[in-house]
Amino acid sequence: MNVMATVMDLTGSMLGYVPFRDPLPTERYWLLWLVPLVIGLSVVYKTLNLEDLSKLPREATVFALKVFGFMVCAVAILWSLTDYL
Amino acid sequence: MTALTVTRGEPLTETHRKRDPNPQWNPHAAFAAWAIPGMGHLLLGQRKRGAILLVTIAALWLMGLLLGGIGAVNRKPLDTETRVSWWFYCQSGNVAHIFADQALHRFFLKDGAPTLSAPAFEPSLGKLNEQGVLYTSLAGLLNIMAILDVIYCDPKHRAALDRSRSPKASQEADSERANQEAAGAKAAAIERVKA
Repeated sequence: MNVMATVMDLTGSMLGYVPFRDPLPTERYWLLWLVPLVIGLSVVYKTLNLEDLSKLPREATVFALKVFGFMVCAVAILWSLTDYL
Repeated sequence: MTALTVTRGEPLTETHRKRDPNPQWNPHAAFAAWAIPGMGHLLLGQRKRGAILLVTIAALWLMGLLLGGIGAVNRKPLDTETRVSWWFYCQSGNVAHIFADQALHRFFLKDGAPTLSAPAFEPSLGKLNEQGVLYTSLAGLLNIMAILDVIYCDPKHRAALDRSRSPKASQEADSERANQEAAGAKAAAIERVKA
């Protein structure tokens, strides 16, 4: 625990940021954090749904791409609705 | 051999149906899965599935805490002082994560009581807070899915499928199945002769 405290203190004094205590300073790129979220969600969902786990990488990739596609479509529709109507 | 279609995955054959006629209740596995993600599947012999769940759900939770800070897990956020946040119910889908978050809170609080000028942690606001809450809540909800998956299922069928992934194991399983079928047919023939 002391080692962890030292590491946290050093990080805090050098970067002004302590992991887990302070929010990650990536406010401008928050949208990019949706990518690992969707990938993680796809992996867990497909792990629970597939009988044969050898198909997991392919199925999870396809599912993640479908979710991304749906998100892009939703953004396009909402953007066109709010900007052009 | 008639193929029975199950709700997910590949068709289930009659042989599988004979081997495992009824799904089972697994309350112990569900409790273990609630305590630690993936532990329910590990207890039921589905090691690979359990390991993937453990790593992925824990990674989602850690990412959420990293993004939003420990303030992302908050039983009573500022805007809902009087009632427990619905997000917290979602985050409670995994007990281990709540305990880990509380341990981090204690760790950062140990230097002294927080004051207004020196709070124990910097509260996250805006999009980062939303991302942190979303990550941690989704980790909890996905763990609830994992709990539902183990609480009432047919563990032997899946464990057998996991084992039979390698060609050698598949051949062995096929020969074992053929032997079982032959033994069953022989027993039926004997009964017919006796009758």
